[in-house]
Amino acid sequence: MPLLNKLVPLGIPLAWLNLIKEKKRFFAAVAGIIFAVTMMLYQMGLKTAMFTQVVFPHLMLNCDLVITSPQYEYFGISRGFTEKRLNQAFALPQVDDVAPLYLVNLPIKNPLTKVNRDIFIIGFDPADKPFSDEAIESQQGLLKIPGHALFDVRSHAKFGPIVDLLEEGTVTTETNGRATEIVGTFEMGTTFAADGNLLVSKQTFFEIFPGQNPNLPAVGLITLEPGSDANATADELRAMLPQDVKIMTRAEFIDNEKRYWGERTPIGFVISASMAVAIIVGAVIVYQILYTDVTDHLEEYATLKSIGFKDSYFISLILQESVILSVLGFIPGAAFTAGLYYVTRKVAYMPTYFQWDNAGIVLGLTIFMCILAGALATRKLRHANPADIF
Amino acid sequence: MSVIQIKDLRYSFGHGETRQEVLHGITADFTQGEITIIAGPSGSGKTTLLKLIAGLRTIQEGSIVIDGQPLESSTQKQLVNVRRKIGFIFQSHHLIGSLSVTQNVMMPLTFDPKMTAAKARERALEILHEVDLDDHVNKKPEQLSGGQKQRVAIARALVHRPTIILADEPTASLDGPTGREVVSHLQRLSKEFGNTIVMVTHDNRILDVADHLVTLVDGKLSDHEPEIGSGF
Repeated sequence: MPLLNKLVPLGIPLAWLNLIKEKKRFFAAVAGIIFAVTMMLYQMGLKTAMFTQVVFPHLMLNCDLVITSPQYEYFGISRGFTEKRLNQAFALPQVDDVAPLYLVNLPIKNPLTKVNRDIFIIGFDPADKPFSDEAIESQQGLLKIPGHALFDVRSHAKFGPIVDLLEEGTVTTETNGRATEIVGTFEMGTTFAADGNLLVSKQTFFEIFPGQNPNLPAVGLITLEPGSDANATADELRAMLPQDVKIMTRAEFIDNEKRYWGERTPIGFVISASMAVAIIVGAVIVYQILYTDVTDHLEEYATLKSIGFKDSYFISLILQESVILSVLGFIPGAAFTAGLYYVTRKVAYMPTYFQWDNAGIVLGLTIFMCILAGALATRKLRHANPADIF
Repeated sequence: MSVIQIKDLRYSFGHGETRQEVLHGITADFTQGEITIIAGPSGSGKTTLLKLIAGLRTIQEGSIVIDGQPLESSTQKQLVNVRRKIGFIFQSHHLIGSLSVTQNVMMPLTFDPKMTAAKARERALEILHEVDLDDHVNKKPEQLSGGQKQRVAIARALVHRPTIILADEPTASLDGPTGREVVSHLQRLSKEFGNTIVMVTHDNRILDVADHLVTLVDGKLSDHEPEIGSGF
């Protein structure tokens, strides 16, 4: 109660009453903050979605360590490494299993429109267990038949209504000009490198992509015996194997992917820059509104100052106005962003979801932005001498 | 008993060649419970003197003691405490537009740490009754006439029972009868509460309310009383 009495002395909510006195100005301020909040939260949502999206395949992989070429950059088209290294790794007693993966983007024909669109193809030996996904595990036996494939139900709609067609039986189409029969589905999701995914056996992979050397997989998965130390094994392999491969733990493999898209492509920079612009625009709007408020009330505030109100009272007053504006701008801004997330999910197939931790950060940034603007706006008042005003 | 003591007070504006002294060694005492009117023509230094008494301007030369506190050696905190003993009435009311009449009057009561909202409201309503504004307590200042606003300003100046009331041309923006009415309220309440009033004016129609009338001409104070009704 003492704090409340200090903030709102004698129950007179001057900050709130000052704000709502000029209705148009008040709504302009709130609209400005809604804009800034929406920009920030939406950009953060995109960034989170991007980092979630780019590691969809990684999270489904059944591995503790990963072997790639030293030139490996991201989970897409990659220079292969000699499969011999995977076999050498298998020689370690703590290694339980190894599995090579073959990756390529090739055109698949939309069964209805007959238009070819590139799809991301992952080839693997159906005898291995490279995915920790029940749907894949239960259907991967079907891939032993050459030409058979599993289709990612979260692929872009441009590949056709394959899921609907599957309800009537298998779907026959062409991948890179070779007949392909889609015999089942799984869920993985699109990434920046793939608008859709197709799983095939190693044999089918090389049938539809005959130019690729079967001894050069793109990614090698290593699973360890339970209780084994992944970091220590990674170090052991780095010491043991020649420099023609790169060893990563599962966590490093995931981080590598996020870092690639976040730092080595313009996407991460563009999102960060957009957030900075949103904060600056929001702060400028709030500053203008609060500065005008201070200017308009300068004589009133000077009167209070002349009868003994301290500077701290006015600073508290303007900061209260800042916090009120930030909260009132945040709530509709967050709701509006949730709507934008929904549209983005439907249109762009990005996993944009409202996340409370992002919302908390944006609320914090919004309050900081408003308080900073408010603190700047009080400078005129703090330096104002009532004797010069009257 | 002297509440305000002024000794050899000098004040100048500007520097160097542009320096102009507006108060030339003023010495005066203001007694508790008295209404002193400082009359004089525009530009004679009346308002400057009032601002110096209020601690709103820094004393350059001489001294002012308010209720035992010498202003020239006061810290900012002490000056704030001095200002809390003073009620101000300005030429323009400077009421807070977003607050109701009652809330405006309650504002100076926030300095009292023991004051509750209910008590403050009660006190504000009492004094608003004294200035005949019972029917306007929930209105916003913009809904009041000039005279009513100035009466609210008087209520605000008096509500925390200050030792001193400083009034700077309180009737300047009012017509004759309204100005008269406002000053009558001020006179009556200050007598009731025992406030010391220092009022600056060049409105000769209200000079009769003064217990003590002095003139300030060309920066010098004299006891030469202007002829009531003659104007400046």
